[in-house]
Amino acid sequence: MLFFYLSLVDLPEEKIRVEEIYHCYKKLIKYIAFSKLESEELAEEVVHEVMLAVINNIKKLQAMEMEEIKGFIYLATRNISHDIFRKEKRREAENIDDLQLPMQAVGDPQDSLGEQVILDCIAAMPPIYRDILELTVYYGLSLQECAKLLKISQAAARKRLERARAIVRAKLEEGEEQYV
Amino acid sequence: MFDLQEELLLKRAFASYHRALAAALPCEEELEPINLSERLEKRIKRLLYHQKHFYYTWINTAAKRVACILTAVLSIGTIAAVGIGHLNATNTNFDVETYEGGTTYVFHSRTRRKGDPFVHKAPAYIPAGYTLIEDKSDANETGLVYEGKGLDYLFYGQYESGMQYNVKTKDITYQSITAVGEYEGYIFENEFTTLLLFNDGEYLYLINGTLSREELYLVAESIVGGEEK
Repeated sequence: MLFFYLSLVDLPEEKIRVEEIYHCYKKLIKYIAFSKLESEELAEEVVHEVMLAVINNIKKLQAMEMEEIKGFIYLATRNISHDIFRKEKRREAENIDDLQLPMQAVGDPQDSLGEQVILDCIAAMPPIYRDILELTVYYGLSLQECAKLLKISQAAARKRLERARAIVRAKLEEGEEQYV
Repeated sequence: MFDLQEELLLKRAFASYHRALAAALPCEEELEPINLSERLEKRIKRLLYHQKHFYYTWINTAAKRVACILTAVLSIGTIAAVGIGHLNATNTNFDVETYEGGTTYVFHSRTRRKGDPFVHKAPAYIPAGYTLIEDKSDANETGLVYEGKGLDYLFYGQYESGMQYNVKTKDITYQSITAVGEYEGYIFENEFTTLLLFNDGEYLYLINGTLSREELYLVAESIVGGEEK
C-alpha cells in the first residue's frame, strides 16, 4: 500500500522526478500491460502499480537518465502484468516474457569478446534470472527491494540471483575456452 | 557477488540490451493514440500529491523539529472563526508568524517545563475501517499512522513545546481558526486532505487524513479526553 512507500520519497528533486517519469512513460506502461492483459481496466491497474514501484525505488532511479529508466519501467511493467495475469486467470501464466518483442541485442563494436559473450548470455537468459540480475547489477537494488518489486520472497530472490550468476560465469568460462 | 570486472561487463551488456529494448518498444508517435482514463489520472494525481506533501516530510524528517509544508492558495479574508466549542483566550499558546508565501505556527507550553517526562497519548476514537499500521513514536513525540480503504489514511502526532509547523499558502482551499473543546487550533484543507493543528496547553497535536472535518474533530476530541498510550 501507499504508506509503505512514505519513507522513501522525501526530497523535492525525487518527487519531481517521479512526476517526470510518469508523464514520460504512462502510455508505454499501458501499452505493454494491455498487450499482456488485454483489458483496459487491468492495464491501468498496472500503471498505478508501476508508479508505486517507481516511488519505492526513486532513490536508485533519481540519478539515471530517462532512457536508462525505460529498462526499469519495462521490467516492472512486465512483472506486475504477469502477476496480475496469474491472479486474474487463476492459472499458471505462460512465459513471463511473452510480449515477444522483436529484439536483437547487438553489442557495441568496441566491446570486447567478453562483453559480447555476456550480452548474448543475458539476451538468451530466462527472464526470471535476467530480471534479478538487471535489478541488482544495473539498477543497484538490494535483494529485499528486488523481492518486493518481483513479489517473491527474499530467499527466492537470492536463489534466482545465484542461478543467474552461475549462468553468466559458465558462459564466461565457455567464452574464454572458445576464444583462447 | 561478481568481481569488479564481471560487474562492469554486465553493466555494459545491460546498457546494450536496453538500447535494443528501446528500439523494439513503440515510439512516441505510436503511443500517441493511447489514452488513460480520467479515473486513473485522478488516482495518479492523488498518488503524486501524497508523495509531495507534508505528510511524508512529517513522518520521515530526521530533524526533531517539525516542518510541514502544505501547498495552498491564500485568499485574503477567508480566515474566519469556526466555533466547535468556544475559543478560550487564555489558551493561546501559538506564536504565529506570517511571511511571504506562508505562515509559521510555533507552540509554547505554559505548563510543561524542560525535562518534564513526555506522556504519550493516543486517540480513543478511530473511525471504523482504519487500522494502525505504524507507530513512529519515540521518547519525545508520538506518531501513529492508520490506514483505511484504498488511499485513505489518518496520521496522529503529539509533540513537545517548541515545535513549529510551517504552512506554505498555495492551493489550500480552506483554512480557519478553530477549537477542539476549549483549546485553540487551526484547520487546513485542500483537495485531498484535512489537517487539524491544536494544543491542550501541554502538547501540540496534529491530525491529518482523508477524513471529513467532522470525523477529524471526533478523533481530536477523543485525544484530549483520551488515555495514556
